[in-house]
Amino acid sequence: MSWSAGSSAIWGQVHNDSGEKTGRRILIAENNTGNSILLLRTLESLNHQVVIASNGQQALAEFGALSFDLIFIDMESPEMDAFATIQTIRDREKAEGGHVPIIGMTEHPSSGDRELCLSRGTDGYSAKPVSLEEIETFLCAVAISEPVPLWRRPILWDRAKALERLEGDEELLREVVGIFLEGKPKMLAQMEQALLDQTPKTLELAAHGLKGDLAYLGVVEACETARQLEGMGKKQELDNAKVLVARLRIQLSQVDGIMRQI
Amino acid sequence: MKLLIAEDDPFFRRILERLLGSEFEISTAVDGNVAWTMLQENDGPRLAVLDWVMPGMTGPEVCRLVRTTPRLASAYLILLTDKNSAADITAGLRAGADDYLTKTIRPGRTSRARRNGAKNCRTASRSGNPSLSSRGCPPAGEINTLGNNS
Repeated sequence: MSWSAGSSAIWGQVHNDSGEKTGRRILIAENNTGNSILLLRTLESLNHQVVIASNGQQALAEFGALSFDLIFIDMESPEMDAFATIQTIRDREKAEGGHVPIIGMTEHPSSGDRELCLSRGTDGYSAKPVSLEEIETFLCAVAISEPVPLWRRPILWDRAKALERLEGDEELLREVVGIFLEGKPKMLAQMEQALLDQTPKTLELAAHGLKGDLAYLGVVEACETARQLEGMGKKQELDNAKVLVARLRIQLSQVDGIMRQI
Repeated sequence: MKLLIAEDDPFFRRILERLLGSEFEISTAVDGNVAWTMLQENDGPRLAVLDWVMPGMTGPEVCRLVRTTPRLASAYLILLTDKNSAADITAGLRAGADDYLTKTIRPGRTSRARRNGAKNCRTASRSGNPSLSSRGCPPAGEINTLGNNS
């Protein structure tokens, strides 16, 4: 199988003994050939199916044609026009449902890159080259035990449950959802900072707060992740926390899109 | 009547403010230390909803301080918690809380809590031993059903 810059191609399709495809389906939206191949090879070595798009238009075409478990996108090249591309993906998801985790990448990282990416609809950020550890973190975050693609997950947010708790008060529900959405980025940032600083207590408290909100709102899966993170903070065992924080960010992004529709 | 809501999470703070705001003069604190300062004020609130886990002192720690301060004997303290185990709840009550609400707050049930809380706060003795049994508190189970029924 060959690949050349300027065209998109499916790489690394892996089959198990019974001929079924295995691994995740991942889109690399990247204009730089060297970076694409590096990332491709790494993902391929982990048995994932990879599609490469070298500009925004191709990325959108691939997104429209296939379902992906994860997208890596270059945030810098004009050809990719990442902000517009991501916006289009998110708009389509709003109309059709689902939420594909997107990881933004920059070549020359500056301090605000991560926040900028997250504010433009990505679920994670990585400086290039994306390290194996980061890839594993992102993939673990999207990996869910059941063999169901993320976009086909069951109810992410039990809105009816939340509304029932508030005895049908739609106005109050809208208000508290707004408070939740506003406070969510800060709590996630606190958790990520706690991992950088190795401060389990901070992780525990931030996860605890988020867990309470999520439980009240009926966001079951993310609530469970927050509960696990709280436990890790409490036990001062942060080894696996990075993966769970990344997973929580993705889960919350999925819920975010749904909540903003009310 | 004044009611203190000590809760660092704006989400639950707002829900409580909204549900209780029409009947009480609400003041809020975002950590346990500030809550304790407010409760000590001469004309401070004597009815308080205290989050269990918050920055500074925890809810139970504030309860303990209130219960060792005779002039605050009439205070009626409700712990707000996501803890459901009997052991946790007992620990909270032993710390001096009069009752608790779990974080599955519902408007209708909160209204029962506020009625009971206000009533007991008004009728409580302002002197003497500030133990649960001496302050005319309802059986703990009465308000405890607030969260567990949900």
